[in-house]
Amino acid sequence: MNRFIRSLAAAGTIGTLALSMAACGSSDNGTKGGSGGASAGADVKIGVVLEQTGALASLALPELNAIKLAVDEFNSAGGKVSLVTKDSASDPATAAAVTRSLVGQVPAVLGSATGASCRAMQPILAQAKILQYCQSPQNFTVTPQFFYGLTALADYPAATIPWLRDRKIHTIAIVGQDDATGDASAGIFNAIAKQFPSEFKVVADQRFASGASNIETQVTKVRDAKPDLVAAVTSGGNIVPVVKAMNALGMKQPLYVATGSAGRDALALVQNEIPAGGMYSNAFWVNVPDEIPANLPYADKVKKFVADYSAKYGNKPSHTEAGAFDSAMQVMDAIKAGNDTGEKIATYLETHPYTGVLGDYTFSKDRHQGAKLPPVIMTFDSTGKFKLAFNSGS
Amino acid sequence: MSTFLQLTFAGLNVGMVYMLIALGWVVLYQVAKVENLAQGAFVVYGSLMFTSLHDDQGVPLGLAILFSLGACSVIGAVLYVLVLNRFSRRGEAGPVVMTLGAAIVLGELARQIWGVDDRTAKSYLSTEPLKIFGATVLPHSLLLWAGTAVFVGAGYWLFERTIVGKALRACSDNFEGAQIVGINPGLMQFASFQVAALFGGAGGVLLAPLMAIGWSNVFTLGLIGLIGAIAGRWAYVPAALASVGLGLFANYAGGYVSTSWQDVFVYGAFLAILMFLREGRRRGRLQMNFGRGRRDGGRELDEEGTPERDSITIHQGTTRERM
Repeated sequence: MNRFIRSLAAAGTIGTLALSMAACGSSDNGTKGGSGGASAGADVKIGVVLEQTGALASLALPELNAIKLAVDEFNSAGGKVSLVTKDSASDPATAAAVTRSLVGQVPAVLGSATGASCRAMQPILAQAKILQYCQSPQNFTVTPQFFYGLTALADYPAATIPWLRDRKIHTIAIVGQDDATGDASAGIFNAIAKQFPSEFKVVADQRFASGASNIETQVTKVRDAKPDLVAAVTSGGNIVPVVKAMNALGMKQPLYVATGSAGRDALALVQNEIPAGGMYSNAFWVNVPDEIPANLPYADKVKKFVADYSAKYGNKPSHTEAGAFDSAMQVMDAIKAGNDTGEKIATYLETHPYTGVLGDYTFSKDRHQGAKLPPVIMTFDSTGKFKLAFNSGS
Repeated sequence: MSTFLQLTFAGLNVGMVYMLIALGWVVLYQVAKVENLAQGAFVVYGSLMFTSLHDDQGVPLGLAILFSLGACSVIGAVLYVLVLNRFSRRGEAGPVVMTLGAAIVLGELARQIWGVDDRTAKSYLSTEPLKIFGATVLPHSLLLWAGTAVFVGAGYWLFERTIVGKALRACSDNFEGAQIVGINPGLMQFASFQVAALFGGAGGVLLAPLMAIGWSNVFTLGLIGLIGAIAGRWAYVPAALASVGLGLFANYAGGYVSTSWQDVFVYGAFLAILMFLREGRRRGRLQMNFGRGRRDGGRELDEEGTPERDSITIHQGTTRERM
């Protein structure tokens, strides 16, 4: 009897742990016609690997919404596509693991939202000749089936320098994640300082582990460097400890927010504690849809996407959602044209220019990065809205 | 000077919370003989409950604090039932495995309720930092320090000056003896879970406007508290001091050496502490004093200077030799 009770207790404990671990770990949603999902009985499946849980989920979940919106619009126009979604749990190793499970199932995978996970997935998909459409704006070594739509960070300095000059900013302190995502975003300012050494200088570079709650030590060092601008090279909710620490230390400098944290969901976390100097980020026109110039050629696409997304999800999208939407649309267009393998979809993308919510995408065999960044800077305020802060007009 | 002060303030902010978590570990271990890996959950739930009630639901400040601490108290009661029932208590690993499972479940539950992102409460004091010799400190930080001091002081008073405290210490000293003189050990174990829950919950409520807290902090906060408890050799005041020291050390090391290596310093210090204390053993009773026990050949000496013999502790039908 005692042995039976012991076995029962052990089985209960193990069962509880197993259930908990399963709940915490990767969730294979296999989205088929879920909220915003694809139609039942679909012919072609597209894989999606995104950070649905973990520190970067606030960045990736809206992107997943945008992809679902694209699939809905595509299917309502006669397409037949469904999604197989996998959760990378904000961990590159998990991203690689769940990507392996998609091999043989899908011709294309959208994701992930961050450079580190995109890189972890890339060799697996390249070997299987599956098209990968990464949602990160980092600089990548392009392989035949690897594409990315958001403006490469290498193009950010040109769009940022006019604003720095306008604000008379000369010294910049970097604070952000101690990972590939942080390094890539920090590269914007390192490149600017390298290009114009007499005009711009990086005076501090402090990093912290993704998910850290308190970074006052790092920001104390940043404050001691007396910069004109603090650049937060973060993704998702990692912007929160930066803002908290700046306010705690009484810092009045403007805060530049890297694109990874410049989504509405991530910034809403600090909406009530905007630093005294304000928060700024590079912008696409989708971020400031009410201030789009009348002569913008793709203005209608931007406004329609903003209206559809807002109607479906109750909040306005940002450029990361727009990038995810565009990438899904491009892949589905290729599939609709009869391309059912990663190689064929890649060739189609290289030979068919596309105009989406972020503007014109022109891929070629040598160039697999899409939209260009306009020279626009937006600000985020306590009302939760993005506003146009600077437009060089050039 | 201002940098030193700033790092000190930052260290105190985290050190005070580490202290409350560590003292929860100490009280639970000494009275109930449970290593509670879910100790960080009290902080997380205290913080998130307070943020939800006060910021989202508009519950008045005092009530929001009370309800948040009440929620932690309920979690403490549930943990007590989970960990110290007669099934999970069989075998040495049973209770700790149950706390591990509880930590995972509580973390996941927090993720489902409050979402994936860490949350922070709106400030209910001034957000303008106070300047002290070139360093800045938020009024909320001062409240955190004062609130922690009050809670730790109240705990000290409870254990030193009240009948309940003396009963808790009696259970810590000798479970069977306490039972013989009419103390209900089960009730005292329940009380120890409540004290640990209130310490953690208070830490969460006080921390809520200062730091973003979320479901992923359950383990990390608990682990840091454990380091403080071990460094303080599971005694009340030393664990409190060690925890504050840990917070200060982490910030000084990050500030003056390298922030990139901050975690390495903290956990490296933990390893050093474990090596330094390897010949010792946990104090078997709720020690309140500052000093270390005298030792003789690796064995603790009692107050008369005679070696303390390994005692036999009766746990409601099970016999366990304290090592």
